[in-house]
Amino acid sequence: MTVSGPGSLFEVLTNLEMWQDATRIATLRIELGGTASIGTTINVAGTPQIIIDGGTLSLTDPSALPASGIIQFNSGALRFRSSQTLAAGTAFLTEFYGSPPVFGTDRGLAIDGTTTLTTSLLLDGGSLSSVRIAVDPSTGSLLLNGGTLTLTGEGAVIDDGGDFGPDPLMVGDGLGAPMLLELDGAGDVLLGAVTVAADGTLNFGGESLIVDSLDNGGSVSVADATLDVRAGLLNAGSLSLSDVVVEGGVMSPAGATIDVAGTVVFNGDYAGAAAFYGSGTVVFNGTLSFD
Amino acid sequence: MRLPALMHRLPATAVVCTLALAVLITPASGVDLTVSGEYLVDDVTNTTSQVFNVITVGRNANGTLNVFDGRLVSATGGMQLGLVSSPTAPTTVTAVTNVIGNHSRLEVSGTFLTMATNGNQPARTAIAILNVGAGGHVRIPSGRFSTS
Repeated sequence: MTVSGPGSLFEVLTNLEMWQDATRIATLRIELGGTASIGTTINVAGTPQIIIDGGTLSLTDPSALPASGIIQFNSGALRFRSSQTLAAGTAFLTEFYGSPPVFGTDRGLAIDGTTTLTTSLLLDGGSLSSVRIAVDPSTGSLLLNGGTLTLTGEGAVIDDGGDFGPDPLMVGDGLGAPMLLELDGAGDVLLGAVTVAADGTLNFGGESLIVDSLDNGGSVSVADATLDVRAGLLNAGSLSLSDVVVEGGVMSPAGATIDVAGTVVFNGDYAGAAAFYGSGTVVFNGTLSFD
Repeated sequence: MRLPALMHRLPATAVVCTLALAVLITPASGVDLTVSGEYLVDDVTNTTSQVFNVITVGRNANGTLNVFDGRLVSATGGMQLGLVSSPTAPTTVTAVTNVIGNHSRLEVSGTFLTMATNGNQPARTAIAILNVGAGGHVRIPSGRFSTS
């Protein structure tokens, strides 16, 4: 059986049984753009094959996975429709993403709930999607070297101190592999110190993005929101603001750019000779210096 | 064995054969559909949803069910791909179902089986193939797959 192409979906509401005997091997192949969604479990007899070759296998949780070796994960993604804790030694992580887990360019994981990280996870060109991510400050970390991290929930990032693993949170590593941090959920998102490297992009689509500090050497885009940078924003890259209120001081030196749409209000001090582009209105309510 | 994504349209000769089949079978809930040869549901041959009781594709002969172009086919009593029960059946029977394109749907209530070879015909094999292509959606309550 093959599921292949954009929007293709094979949906099993309860169990899927797959058999293999002397002459027959059941094979489920999930190719690019295709999704196979299994309601409860995959029961196997013998060693049938599930080949993930660019598509997505959606399950309630990892307990629904068949025994090790049944799934041939060439590329694509797993999706779990429940919150998950990713810990050192988590079986599916080790089998499909290695130990410690690395999400390379051919690997993705989507979790329709909260992801709790108690181990180190490296996003290195692949994708990770979750409603929220909670990073255990003592044992967990999330390194964003490249790929796409999408957080869809309100209060998208949570842990004890508002940190996000190692402090500061690095979006991109400056080595060239593009890294996209997409914060799409409604409501507020609280982060610690954030550094966006030259190869990093941070897009925010919620209501308030609250960060201890923001050091942007790459690209940051905020729309229809409040950007609250408590210890200040240093913009040495590209900053795109559309109908945004910026709380906190901003330094944006020459060479940097700020694209403005709608009305952008800087309530803190603003300094720097960055070039402004766009057709919107900018209001400076603090001290203004273009030096 | 998979169809290329663009193979939505079959040759005119195939369409003609399917139209002949459609005349013989009056789609309605409670009617079984057995597909030998090809049965095609697309925006040319059939413009309404097709509702059957049990759908069997490839019963003692090769069969192909094609659901294209946003059409819906339902099997309210279950579906099986590849049923070999006759001693005169070919050594290998191939049963293919393709659901491809533009929100095309196959919905099955009851059990979905592939490779339902009768035990009295051990020398014969059914090969069942289900292809869900771009835009296609197959929804089953549960399934038992013996071949792909």
